[in-house]
Amino acid sequence: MTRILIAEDDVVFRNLTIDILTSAGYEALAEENGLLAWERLQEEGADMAVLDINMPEMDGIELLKNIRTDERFKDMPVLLLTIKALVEDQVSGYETGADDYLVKPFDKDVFLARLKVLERRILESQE
Amino acid sequence: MQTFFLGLAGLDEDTGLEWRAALRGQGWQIDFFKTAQEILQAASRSSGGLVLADASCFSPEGPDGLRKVLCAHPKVSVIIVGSQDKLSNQQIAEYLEAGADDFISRNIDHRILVAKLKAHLRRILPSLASLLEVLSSPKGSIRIDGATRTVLIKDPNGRSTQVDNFTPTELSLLKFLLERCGIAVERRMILEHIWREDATQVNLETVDKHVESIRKKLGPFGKNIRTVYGV
Repeated sequence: MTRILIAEDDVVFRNLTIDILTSAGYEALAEENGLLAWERLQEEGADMAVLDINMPEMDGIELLKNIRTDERFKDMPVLLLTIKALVEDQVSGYETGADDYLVKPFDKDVFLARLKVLERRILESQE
Repeated sequence: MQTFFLGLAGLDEDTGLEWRAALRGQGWQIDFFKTAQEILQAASRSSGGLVLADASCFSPEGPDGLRKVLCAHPKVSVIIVGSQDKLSNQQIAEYLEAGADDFISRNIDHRILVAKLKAHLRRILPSLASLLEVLSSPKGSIRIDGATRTVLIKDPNGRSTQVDNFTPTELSLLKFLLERCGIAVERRMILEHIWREDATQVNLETVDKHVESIRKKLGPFGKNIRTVYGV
């Protein structure tokens, strides 16, 4: 079962994301801020990450930087989920190492399809 | 034989020309295709490719048409281009499930288009992505060309300075530091990352020497690499 780390401070949105992922057969490891998510990732590991950008303690970009500079996680697929639709924010997210970027609100089927694309990449990298 | 191709397929002329100009600005050579058949022909001459293809290329079969192309040439990566008033979310999801690596809107900002493609190339072709890499620092941008071992520095005012003759080790070290901009990294970590299995045979002072050499070659920009103590 693919394990997905979720970092999202909005409790309603976090629970919605957990429901979507678990209904689709994923194991969701959810935390309410970037720092807790980073600590959990180091303790338990994960296969992919879905990160909000605006979070307390450690924002999504900082968390992404930590992921990309840690040998254990640097190749892990990461999808950024955010309300920030500015061009500069999206470019910054990709340049920091995000694999995909979705602006909220988003369609559930497109979200899941994009996660499957990232899963394919995990499988291809293992071949 | 061309080893890897980047292409635009089935786009209207204006979009095709705009995107080609934006991508050529990154130093990429872009091919144009009209149909899925032309994509297949290019794929058969290459070891792989990346195509931004309008969904119309795969008409009338749609996602099944894409599936056939990818089955014939699994080394080709396809990003579907469309507009969200013509493709429903369900259709977009179907293309992604059929094997498309992304969906982008026809009116995407060029800066996002370039950033997305670089992110994609990082995954599917890391060696190519590293050759074309542009790394940004808070005080401007640095383009590292791995093939010519050249560093092109552009300051925030747009002035460019080219620095030649970096050694491969210096380039790897510079890239390593830029990827961790703002973060203090220990010499031992640098040693293990750059010298890998040879790290135990290299003195820590060697790291200092390489950093000093990089600083000299970067000239005024060299002071952006700072040594901190006691962290």
